[in-house]
Amino acid sequence: MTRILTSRQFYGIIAIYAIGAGAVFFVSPFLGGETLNMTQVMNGLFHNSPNVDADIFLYHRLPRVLLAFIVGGALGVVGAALQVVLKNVLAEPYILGIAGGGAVGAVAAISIPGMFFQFGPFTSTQFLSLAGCMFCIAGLYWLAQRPTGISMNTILLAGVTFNILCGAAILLIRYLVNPHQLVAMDRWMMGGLDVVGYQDLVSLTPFLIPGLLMVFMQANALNQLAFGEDMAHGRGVDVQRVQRMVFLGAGLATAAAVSLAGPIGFVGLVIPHAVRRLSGYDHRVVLPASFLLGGGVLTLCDLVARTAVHPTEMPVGIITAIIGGPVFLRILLVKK
Amino acid sequence: MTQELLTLDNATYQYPDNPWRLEPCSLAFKSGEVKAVIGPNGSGKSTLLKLAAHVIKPGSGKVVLDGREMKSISNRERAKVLGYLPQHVQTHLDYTVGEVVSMGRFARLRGAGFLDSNDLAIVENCLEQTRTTHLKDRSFTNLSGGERQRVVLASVLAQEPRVLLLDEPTSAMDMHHEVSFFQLLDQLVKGGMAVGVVTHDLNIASVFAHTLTLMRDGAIVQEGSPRQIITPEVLGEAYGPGIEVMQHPTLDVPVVFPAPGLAGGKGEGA
Repeated sequence: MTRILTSRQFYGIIAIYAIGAGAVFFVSPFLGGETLNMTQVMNGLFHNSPNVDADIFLYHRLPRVLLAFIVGGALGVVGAALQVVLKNVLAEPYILGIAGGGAVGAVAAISIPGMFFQFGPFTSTQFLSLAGCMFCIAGLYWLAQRPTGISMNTILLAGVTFNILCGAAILLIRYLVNPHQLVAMDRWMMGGLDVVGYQDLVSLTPFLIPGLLMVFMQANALNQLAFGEDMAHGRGVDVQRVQRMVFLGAGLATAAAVSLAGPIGFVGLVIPHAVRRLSGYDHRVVLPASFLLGGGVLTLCDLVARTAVHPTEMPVGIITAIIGGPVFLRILLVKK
Repeated sequence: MTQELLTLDNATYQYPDNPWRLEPCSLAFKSGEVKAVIGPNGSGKSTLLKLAAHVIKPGSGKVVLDGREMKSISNRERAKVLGYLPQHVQTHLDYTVGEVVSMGRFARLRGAGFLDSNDLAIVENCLEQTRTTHLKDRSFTNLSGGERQRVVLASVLAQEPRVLLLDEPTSAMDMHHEVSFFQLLDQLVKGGMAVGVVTHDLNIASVFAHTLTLMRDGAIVQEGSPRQIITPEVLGEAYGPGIEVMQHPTLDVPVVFPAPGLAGGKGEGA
């Protein structure tokens, strides 16, 4: 457990998480409904001898694992940061209501017949979902704006309200649409990481990477903010700037994750708590470790999702809760 | 010898959603001096201290830190000179005492803010000064109120400030620790620091403070030595009746007692 974090300890702890996450990342593309032959894949990739295994690896498994890892990591980091700035241990990426906006956008796109257009790199569902998220971020920011900065309390309350409003809007759309469209909507709401190729990843990195960087850069200041805004100010933190950066960064990263993978619950709430239990409360460790653990865990959950009921697959959101819940309870029990 | 490290020049403050306001206040925190800010509840002591610490910005007038106007100083630069301890320091996260104290180095470190051996030595020294070394590996949230107050003082000392502003820093301490807390402040000002402390304990203020600033209704009533301020007349003006002033039995300072006859206590001869 960290007492006073030195750079040596920091790299030591992060290395342990990185080794674990790295192992999951490199092994899981080979596993699945069909186990891929590693030699075949390597030959296909590096020795110019195309084969089926290499194609599955490169165009199906690898993008999917990458997506799972980035989305899981982003949810973990965003959850960890929001739990500090909102002063609430139950905070998670979806508490801001951003995911609600994303869901309304996605459900609307699915409900409108013939609405399958390609907007730049996005599908209609992704595009409207992203637009819904952005609309919510802008709305929250506008509502919480004060002469002295942004009010985190307002963000929390307005976010919860947005979620309820969006829930109602989704119910309304569901009530109005053709019943067979409900299946597609439900499927989206359960979250999923089924991508083919790298298009989705590429189109969303412009939102996700800057968003995550904005949050990561506040890691040390978050420790100060955990003791209240006045105390942090006294220590030399630009409190308003940190809150803005975390809110906007978290918003962008969540928007990207939601529009790409739908709402995947549990990761953003539980991963930061697991990290804090395992390696202390210093957010210079908690943020990167949450990224690595979140990425690793969601990758594993997705592996289960695409393997357990082969040849079909389960929505990964179900797996995250079924596996994550008991594991987290076990951590709580060990540390009691 | 005594240098004005932090001054308020006709500084006012108006809360945005509240008619209460801090009237124009002028005062100076000088090196080598403990200044106690006293006054009844709601008289503006904490607001005055927040204004001095630049947690809130003055509506009019100005605050000057070490010769420079506060608004032209960056947050980090300010924190290297000025340490501020708000009234209630709480966290919902389970940091260790060592971590809390090391966080005081924030303004002095760049990048990720890892501590080197010099920083660690300063942290150890601050723990020692506040007699909290034995708590170093304990969880901050599990400490008693008084222990926490000593730990947060240690963390502010780790900033190596020249001005220290403390808002009711001993409100949860037993008398023994309160006295040693103020003895430490006394040592610090002898080393050239300027200390401003909001307190409700008039006796501790009388014994340890060099000057007292008495406030009422958002304005400074009077400033002066304990002998000038701790009198039934001056205190009565701010607090109303119910206070009796006597001479400290061994020190040359006045001390206060509740006056039962006036305060409606048990009454004489009880």
